[in-house]
Amino acid sequence: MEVQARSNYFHHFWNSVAISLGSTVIGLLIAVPAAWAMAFSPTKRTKDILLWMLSTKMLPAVGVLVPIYIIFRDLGLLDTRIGLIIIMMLINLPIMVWMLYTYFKEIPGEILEAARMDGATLGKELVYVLTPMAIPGIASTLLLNIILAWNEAFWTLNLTASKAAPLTAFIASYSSPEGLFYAKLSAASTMAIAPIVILGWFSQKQLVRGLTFGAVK
Amino acid sequence: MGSIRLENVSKHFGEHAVIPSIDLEINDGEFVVFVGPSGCGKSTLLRLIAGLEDVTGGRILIDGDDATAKPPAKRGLAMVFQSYALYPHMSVRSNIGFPLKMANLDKAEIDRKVNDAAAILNLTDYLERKPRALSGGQRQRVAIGRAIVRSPECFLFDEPLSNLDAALRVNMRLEISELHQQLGATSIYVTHDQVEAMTMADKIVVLRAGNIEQVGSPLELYRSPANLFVAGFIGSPKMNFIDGKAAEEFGAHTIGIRPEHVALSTESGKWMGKVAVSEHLGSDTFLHVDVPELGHITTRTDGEFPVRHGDTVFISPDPERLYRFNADGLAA
Ligand SMILES: Nc1ncnc2c1ncn2[C@@H]1O[C@H](COP(=O)(O)OP(=O)(O)O)[C@@H](O)[C@H]1O
Ligand SMILES: [Mg+2]
Repeated sequence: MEVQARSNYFHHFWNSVAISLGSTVIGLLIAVPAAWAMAFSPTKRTKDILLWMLSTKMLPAVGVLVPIYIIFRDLGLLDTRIGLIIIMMLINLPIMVWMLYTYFKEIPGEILEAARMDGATLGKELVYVLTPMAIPGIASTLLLNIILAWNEAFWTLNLTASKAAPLTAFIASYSSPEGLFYAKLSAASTMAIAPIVILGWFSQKQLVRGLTFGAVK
Repeated sequence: MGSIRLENVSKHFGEHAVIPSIDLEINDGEFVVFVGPSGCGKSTLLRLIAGLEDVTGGRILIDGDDATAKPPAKRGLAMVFQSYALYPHMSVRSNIGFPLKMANLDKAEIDRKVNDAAAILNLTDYLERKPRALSGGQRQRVAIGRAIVRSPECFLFDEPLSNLDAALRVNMRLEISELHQQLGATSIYVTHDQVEAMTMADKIVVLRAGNIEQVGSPLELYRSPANLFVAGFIGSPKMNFIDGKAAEEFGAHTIGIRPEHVALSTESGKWMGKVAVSEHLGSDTFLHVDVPELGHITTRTDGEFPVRHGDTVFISPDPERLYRFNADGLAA
């Protein structure tokens, strides 16, 4: 296949996998405790912090491109996977926290109180009650973020050349000064979205599964 | 042992004093019902006893020990929540066994105790199901099962029957009463339904706006309510209250007459009125009578009292069972 032959599909494919999985996993490690704290022991400022986090998504990314570019250059992170994992994680973090916060909020307080009455320590409450109930929410967040990171183009295009370039950058390379290669562009795009479509297909059930049906009432 | 004592217990949410100050003594083995209108602080009081809320002031003694600062699990109490609060991802077996697992009992003993509890509650065939595959009544039983496996000193129930339909409610009421006879543990039961209170309680605590209006056995409250609120709250249909001239005649600011303590006649009596509505229940008939000098009076008589809307009837109070209240609404 020419699409593969010309520019090494699998090299970019693995970059995409590493970047989306890596950023999502690190993001979850930060977002789960954050959302947890906000949902279960909110303070007066919790709502403000949530709004502030969302507001960062309203700023056009171009506005911070130059400073980020310079920081990355100085730290030697340009065109590295780790650099992209960090930036992907950071731009998706607000969405992760928001999603998880909404899911955690839906866990009925009475169930947690029941666990406390039943003698569960905080640790046991986490392991036996909260985590199993939160897993559908965490799974949906994980999936959505893999998809978002997989499809992200702005930062990947601007911070990579070829070494760490994921599939999005690979596709963009078909629209180059040499001309627009529609056929190849389409073929490459199909191959770029195929993995994520398959992932989405198999995880549908998990994505829509009700969180606590039958628990309360 | 399972005696509980509240000394000067108060609870504020911000500025709002939900419970100004309560003193209460609950004896070992008693079935105590907290009853009062919605929003009067029943659940809050129960949650204070459970340790799910911290008191603003006062002390809670369980078996004579100060438990005010103890966490919920250390108080030897078990609670059945209004929403059942079952763990949705666990089977019935794991739900009931959860408190035992938290207490680090070994697997064989947990299984034995869960099986015993399931047998008492007719849940043996459902042990492997998830809560979502159970009916409301069965979920309620699981919640009770989870409470009884630990053999607690005291059970706390927060309106456990309010999500069930009427027929099931009567059944569960009996089952809970039977269970109490069987286990003999102290029980505190919260409800807004005075019928539940009257039928289940050894001791009723009537609450209004976070204050105790009266404490007593069901019949004490029925026979000698301390004030207008208790008089109106206990008994169904509600007691009739009469002010003004008719009350002064009996030397009171307000008099109260229960519907079942009114003598009805088609020929003669103290007051004459017209039947507005008659409700025939078969065993009883409730007549709503409009009496010109008193207003609307509800009466209760046996099955087949033959009157209809618009008929004239005479009513006379039973002078022995007439309640007198002063201007402050207190029993005189
Ligand atoms: N966590 C809370 N924060 C603020 N107010 C509360 C809280 N819990 C209960 N209240 C208030 O306390 C009052 C009594 O509530 P509750 O004990 O639930 O009443 P009941 O169970 O008798 O219906 C209500 O006015 C309610 O709004
Ligand atoms: Mg309540």
